[in-house]
Amino acid sequence: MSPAREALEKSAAVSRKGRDARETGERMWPVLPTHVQLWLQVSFLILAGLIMIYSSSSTMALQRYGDSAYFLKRQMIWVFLGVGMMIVFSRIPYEKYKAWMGPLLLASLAALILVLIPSIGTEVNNARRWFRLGSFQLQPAEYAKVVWIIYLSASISKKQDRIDQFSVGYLPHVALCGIFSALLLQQPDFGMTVIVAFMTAVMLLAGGVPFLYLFSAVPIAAVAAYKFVYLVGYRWERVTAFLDPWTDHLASGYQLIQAWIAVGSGGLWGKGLGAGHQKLGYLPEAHTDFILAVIGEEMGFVGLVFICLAFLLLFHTGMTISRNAPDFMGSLMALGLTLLLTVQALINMGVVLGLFPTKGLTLPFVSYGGSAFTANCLAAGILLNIARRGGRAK
Amino acid sequence: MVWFACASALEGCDDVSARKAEKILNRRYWLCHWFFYAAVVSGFSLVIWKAVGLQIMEHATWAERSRAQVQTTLKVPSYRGSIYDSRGRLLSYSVPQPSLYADAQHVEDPLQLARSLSGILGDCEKNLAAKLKSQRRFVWLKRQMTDGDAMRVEALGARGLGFTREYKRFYPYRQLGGQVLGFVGLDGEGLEGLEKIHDDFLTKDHRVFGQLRDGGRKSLWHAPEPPPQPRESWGLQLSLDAFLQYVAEHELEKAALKYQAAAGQIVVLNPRTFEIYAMANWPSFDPNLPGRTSASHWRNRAITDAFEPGSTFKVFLMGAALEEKVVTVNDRIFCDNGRGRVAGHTIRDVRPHGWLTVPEVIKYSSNIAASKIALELGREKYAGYIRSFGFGSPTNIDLPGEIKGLVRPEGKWRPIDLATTGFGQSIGVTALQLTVGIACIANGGEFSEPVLVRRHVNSDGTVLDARDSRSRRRVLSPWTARQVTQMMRLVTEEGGTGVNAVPEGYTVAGKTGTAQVVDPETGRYSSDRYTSSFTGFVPAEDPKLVITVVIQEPQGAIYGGAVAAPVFREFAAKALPYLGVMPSNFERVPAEGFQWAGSVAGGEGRGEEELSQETSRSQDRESWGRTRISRPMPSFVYSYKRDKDRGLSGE
Repeated sequence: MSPAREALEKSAAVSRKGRDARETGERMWPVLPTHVQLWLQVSFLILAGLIMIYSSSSTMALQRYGDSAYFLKRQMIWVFLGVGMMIVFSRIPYEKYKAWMGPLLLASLAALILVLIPSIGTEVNNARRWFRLGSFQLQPAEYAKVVWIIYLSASISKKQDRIDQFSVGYLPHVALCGIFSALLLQQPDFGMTVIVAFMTAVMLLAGGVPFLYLFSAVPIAAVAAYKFVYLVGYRWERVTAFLDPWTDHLASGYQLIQAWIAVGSGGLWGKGLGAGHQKLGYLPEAHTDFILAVIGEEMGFVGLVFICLAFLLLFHTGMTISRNAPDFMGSLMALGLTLLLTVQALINMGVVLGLFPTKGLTLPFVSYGGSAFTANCLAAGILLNIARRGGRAK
Repeated sequence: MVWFACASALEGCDDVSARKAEKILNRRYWLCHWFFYAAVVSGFSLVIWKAVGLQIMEHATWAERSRAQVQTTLKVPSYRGSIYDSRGRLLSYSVPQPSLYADAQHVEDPLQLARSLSGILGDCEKNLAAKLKSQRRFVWLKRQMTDGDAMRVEALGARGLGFTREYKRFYPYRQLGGQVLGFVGLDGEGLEGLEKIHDDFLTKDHRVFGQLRDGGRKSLWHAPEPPPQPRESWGLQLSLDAFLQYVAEHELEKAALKYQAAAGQIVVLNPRTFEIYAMANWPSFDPNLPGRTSASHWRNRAITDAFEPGSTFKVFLMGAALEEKVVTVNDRIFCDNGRGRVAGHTIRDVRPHGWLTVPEVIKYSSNIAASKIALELGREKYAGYIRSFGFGSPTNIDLPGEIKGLVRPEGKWRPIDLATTGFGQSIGVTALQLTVGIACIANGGEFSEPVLVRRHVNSDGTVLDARDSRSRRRVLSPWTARQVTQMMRLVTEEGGTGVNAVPEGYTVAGKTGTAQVVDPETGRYSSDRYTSSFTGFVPAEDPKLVITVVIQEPQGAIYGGAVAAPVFREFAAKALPYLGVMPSNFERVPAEGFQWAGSVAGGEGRGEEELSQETSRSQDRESWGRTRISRPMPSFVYSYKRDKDRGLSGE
């Protein structure tokens, strides 16, 4: 047999094998079940987060608390809590939320109202967002946004046959979103408001609400943006600082420039784990919102790409879960939760690299912080349940 | 990214077909699904694209920005280095001492605190109280105090007091070489002497370390070991020898007190290396407490003051005249019986002489003959030799304030100036210049610049660099130098003017000098103020030391042979044994010198005589340096010997 012939046979065999695989539902390469994928992706991000939290906060923690592992230890507690939540929520059938929707929504609204009351909510940096529990703080808005997505998916899937009616498919959701936004803006928590509004739009869009209704909201959003961004000094300053950080590089542009210095000086391979300099008081919020800058500095471009890939895979897995969900509510819920995680990551990365104006958003699973972390674990837990219920395995 | 899209597209198709029966996903869902796929993938692409820009394209720029704001240097100062003598004895060193200051704004009870502090520090209570009440944030209370006092102040536990560490300069030998060493101010800056001229070098050895600083501009020491502490800087090793310096100062003081002199100097030099072994000044001062003496005592007169050398200068004249063959050793010169007319002026000798041979001119120090030789030599040639011997220009020694002496331009010399310069008047030299000039003769006519700082050393004593390569030049031929040396030996032999300068057992070549001093008020030579000097080297046949003794304005006796020569002898008698120079002239030492030492027990004729003389001398603490020649050896050595002898005889 001539070599050319051999090669031809071989390629024919390969293509035949591929066709067979497609027909029988087998794969050319082994694919893990989606819930295992999700576990792996989330675990990778949590581990990377723990390492980078220790690296970026140890000097500051030693100076401030006399214990370089102060933030690491606290985050470990949150990790145990969060992973526990993931396991618990992955066992609760998501269909049950349909029945619990009313109480859940009311509870989160109540929490958002309670946190505004001075004696209950704790004020930090002119924002009243937290309940204080001992030395830990809980931010109800983080959980409210997960509840809000669950509510939307339940409500939209229930009203699927009348979704194109303005008063059924559109108005109640937008009105509730308005209430949520108003409460969030009272804290004030503009970043969260944007996320909630954005997720509402996403869910309504995917749920089949007519485009006309949705576009009618654009002028309202524009007016809101004008009122809450342009007219609020520090927010507009953030926008201008983002557009040109060098005009005010010691004040409003400082954070972005320090982030750029961190990421840029890291180069391809980074300065090495723990060897970064920007965390020594140059980069504010190095272990929370700007942890990606520390990753970029210490682990370099390679580390940054790994984090990006992890989120991209997470997104891909989430979308697969959404496609394979047993019903429309599951699909919608998985879509919303996946996008919630991914969009937060994207915005956070964009902020660190100077693609978006500064927002107080954390990098999911990686940044230090209890409420955001556990809320994201909650979302991942529900996603896991949808993944287990949905079928690729059959 | 494309791969993801394709893979999911395939999957998506599968799913639709597979799951259509169970659930219906409408067109809108799919639209959104793919739209978000595209949006998220492009979002991450954007992030990666930006990261490529920052981390790969602009990496150098950002790395430089990071370096610029993070890196800084830590300069660790060094404290002043030490000064050692030629044998490594510490002459000057710095020690950290606590200094007490107050932050007056935090002082609670100024009056009470002032009272207790005054009890410890011994300072005026009122001054302390005023400082403590001043409300100044920083005020010195006591600088460089003792550790004991500091502990007692600490024990008070008073608020508003603090200590810093300052380095205090210590001179363990006190006044020894005070004018040479100089001293430092309270802030550690060199003010006089070596401390002043080597100020930069002694504090130079600071170290610079790279370190980081944090966002608050505070320095961070990022290393496993603690930050380095100030260390001792480089030091100087001098050619000075503390023992010789002590002997010189001691002998000088004795003579100065005996003759109630105004001042005195001794310079001791090695004629082979031109290293200065001692440079003594009287009156002395203690650099530990420079404020206790008047500032005039700080001056190193051996280099800052010129005097008229008088007859000692005749040896240079003779060297020049012999070298130029104006005279030979066999010539005879008529000395006008003590009173001669030269160039229209009368010149007197101390003792009248008739005809003198050229060596006798030096031996008996005839001014008249010297004038005649000088006139014969001529002013250009003579001045040329004077400058070659180093007069009229600084010796470039490592000390501040050296003058070049006074040699007037020879073009302006009148014949009488030439004549008087012949016997060392109307010219000004420093004691160091005179010593170096004589050393040139002792060294066979080769001149060099004197050396005081022998080498630079590290704080651990290792040598950084030696500094003994000085340019040399020939002034006299070795033959002429030998002739002059022979004449100088005559001076110290029977009948010469310098017989008092000879230590027992050694030969000396030297020359006495007695010069009138110009009274600054009248501008004329004073009748009762003289500079007595003796300069020479020992042993004459193989010079080891050049010694110049200058006593200014002695009272009672004025002649160099009487005032300065005995100082020379006493110094040489102690210095030569110390340096291990064996006596060459045994005639004057009893041949059985060691035998009489045994007479500590036995006692015998001449030995006893010597011994009693010794004992009487040691009572006035004169003789302890003369170990090798005549001091009795410790008796146990001899008892051991005698035991041995006895043992031998027993066998």
